[in-house]
Amino acid sequence: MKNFELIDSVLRGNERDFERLIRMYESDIFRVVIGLLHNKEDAEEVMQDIFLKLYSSLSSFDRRAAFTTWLYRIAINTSLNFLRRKRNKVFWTELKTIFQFSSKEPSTEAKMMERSKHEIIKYAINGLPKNQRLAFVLTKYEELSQKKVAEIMNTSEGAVEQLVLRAKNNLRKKLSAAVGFETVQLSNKKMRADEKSKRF
Amino acid sequence: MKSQNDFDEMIEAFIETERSITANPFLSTRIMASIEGKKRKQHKFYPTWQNIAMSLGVILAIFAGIKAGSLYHTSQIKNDHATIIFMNDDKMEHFVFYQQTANE
Repeated sequence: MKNFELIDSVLRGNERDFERLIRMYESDIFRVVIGLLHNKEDAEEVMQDIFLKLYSSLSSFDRRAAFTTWLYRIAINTSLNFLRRKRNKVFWTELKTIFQFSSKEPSTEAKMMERSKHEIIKYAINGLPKNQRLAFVLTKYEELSQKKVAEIMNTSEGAVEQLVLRAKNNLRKKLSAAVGFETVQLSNKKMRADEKSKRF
Repeated sequence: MKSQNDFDEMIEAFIETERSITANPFLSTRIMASIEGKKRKQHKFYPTWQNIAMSLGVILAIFAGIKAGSLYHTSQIKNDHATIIFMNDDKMEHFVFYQQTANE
């Protein structure tokens, strides 16, 4: 069954076909959402919102555009709205994780190192300008073609190429600044530890 | 000092880690359940005109109740009055009886 046939069937009241529609696209949409939110629980919550929105606005779908383009747009808008709403909540969660990792477990430092590396990349991606971030997530996480990304973002293919390039450069800059800082911090920490061991 | 390639590798590794995260296999079931829940909720809600009609009905019922109560009260008074007027006083001693000197 093609998308349009499935949509017609859902609009006729066949809900089983809506479940089929969800199964067809859930992994694609999930990758985009996780690329924007970087958190599984949040992504699942947003996925629910996305498909609820899709279900309620299915009758207003303009068939001149591709269904997937429309669906990706709903997913992006819902994820960005979620991020806006949850900004404070994210702050508190991050604070909690910092305190969790301050405990004296044997592997804490290794975990923290790995975690902090991921956190740095996550913050670097989140810190990108909106359009660069969207182009980057759609091409890197979902591996969509530039043509498709341009369609979703309502821009030209050339603009998408530029956005991805700029996103990569910005990420490299942000990471070199952050990782450089991290390296200095670690070397300082090591020096202090060495001094301590010399004293005793 | 890390090179440009190192950063690219770091980013690629991070993206691969995030891409390997999969959604809950029961996500579609959960979504369908929430759609059902939403539908049921919508059924519970009445449209505005129904709410207005309902409120008007309640107001009318209260007003009718008050009216009926006050009607009952006045008829009671009237009935009492009627009892006085139409009281069967055949068996009562006539007042005239005392006025007549012959019977003194």
